Amino acid sequence: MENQVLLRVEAIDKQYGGEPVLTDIAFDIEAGEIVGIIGPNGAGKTTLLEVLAGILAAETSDVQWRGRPLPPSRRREAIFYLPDGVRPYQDQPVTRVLSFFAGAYRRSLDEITAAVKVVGLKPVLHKRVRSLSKGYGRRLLLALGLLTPQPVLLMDEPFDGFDLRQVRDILQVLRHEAAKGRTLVLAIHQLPDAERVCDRFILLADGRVRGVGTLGHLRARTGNPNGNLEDIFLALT
Amino acid sequence: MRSHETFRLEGAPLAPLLAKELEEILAGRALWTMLLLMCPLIGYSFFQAVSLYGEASAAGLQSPAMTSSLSPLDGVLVPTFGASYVAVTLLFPFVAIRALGQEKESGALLLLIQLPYRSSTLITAKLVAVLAAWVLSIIPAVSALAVWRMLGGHLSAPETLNLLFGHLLYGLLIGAIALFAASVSESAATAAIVTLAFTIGSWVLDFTVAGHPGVFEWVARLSLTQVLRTFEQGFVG
Repeated sequence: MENQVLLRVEAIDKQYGGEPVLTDIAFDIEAGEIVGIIGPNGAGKTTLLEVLAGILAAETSDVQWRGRPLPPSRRREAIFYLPDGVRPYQDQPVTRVLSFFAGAYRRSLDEITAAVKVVGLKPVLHKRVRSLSKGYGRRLLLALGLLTPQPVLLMDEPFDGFDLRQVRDILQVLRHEAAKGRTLVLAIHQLPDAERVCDRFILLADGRVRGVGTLGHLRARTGNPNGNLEDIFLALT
Repeated sequence: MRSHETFRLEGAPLAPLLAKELEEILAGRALWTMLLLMCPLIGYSFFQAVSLYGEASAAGLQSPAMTSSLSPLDGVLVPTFGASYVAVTLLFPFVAIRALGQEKESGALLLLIQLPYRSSTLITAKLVAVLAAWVLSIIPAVSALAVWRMLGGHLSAPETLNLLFGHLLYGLLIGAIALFAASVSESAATAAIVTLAFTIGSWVLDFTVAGHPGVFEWVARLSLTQVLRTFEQGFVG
């Protein structure tokens, strides 16, 4: 795995109505890795992803791309963000939604077919988006993410709505995507799933980063050599 | 292997975006409900206008002075398009709001703003979709003009085009107000209320203060109806 730092977050601060939601967030993202932003509901994971993607304005948003400043207006050149709980264009069939995204990014039919096959969307291609189950709706979002060319893909709760078998299938998709060189940043609150897929973790609680590193690094930091991610998270937060 | 270079946001094809916007607005029930209501409304207005104009013409046979004041523009075209004006004022906002409101409510807007299109391009595409919806909405009135010609009625091309242009501007104005309302409101319902407050408020201005001297006359000129009235008078103001 390459150790090149692609994305460096030096300072992100965000407030809502004077209340701090994110405070002094700082971490690095290396090329080709899968990073998990771990935290309970309300920790600020979604807010962090939206600020990182340049969708949400923040009081401070100091982000660098390969050593150069990356202002919010240019974040979409490097980052694509897949939000949680989104059902795009519900009156359209799945094929039309995929065609729109593929067309915008000039993707070929082969690339669309590959994305459909990888996420298992073939059974529902001609269904309207509003009639998809939660799992297939999330597969559609994942397919859209696979069609985008940005080197970093942010995903908010990528396993929400999947059963155990489906989670394993999606894990393989994400690992395959990372093996092709894409960098994935996943906001996850299900710690067992995060432990299975992520190379490194950013532990977030109450809007602050409480720990950054691999599972081994975090175990050493907490003096718990056999602890799972849940134990480590509780110890650090 | 995937490149770690950023994606250059240049030359994204417009066709997929325009196709998506048109499909979204055509898939909405609001447009077809509006057309369903407009057809009998415009048909009845046209029938009444032709009937009254016929009676006035018959009476004019006895009075050449009266005949010279008869005009198909005032007698047939303006009343027929008047029904279209009422429908556009009350129903077109619901059609135009869909162009943005649906994406806001479903969360698809978070995906759309990340695509390789400038904000101005996205807004223009939505206005094009609103324009296309207006063109569909004017078909019943234009059909009535065709029937008028088949009945042997006179149509002055400059006057007719001027009237159509006035209604086009009015429709686009309503559409633009609706899009603005959709962008600042949290829901489509709120956006509809905001837009109707503009349009119906404009009617109230027209009814209550038009014709009064002084500051009331200036206020009355702000009415949206006054904008259209200029084009109904047979000359470009």
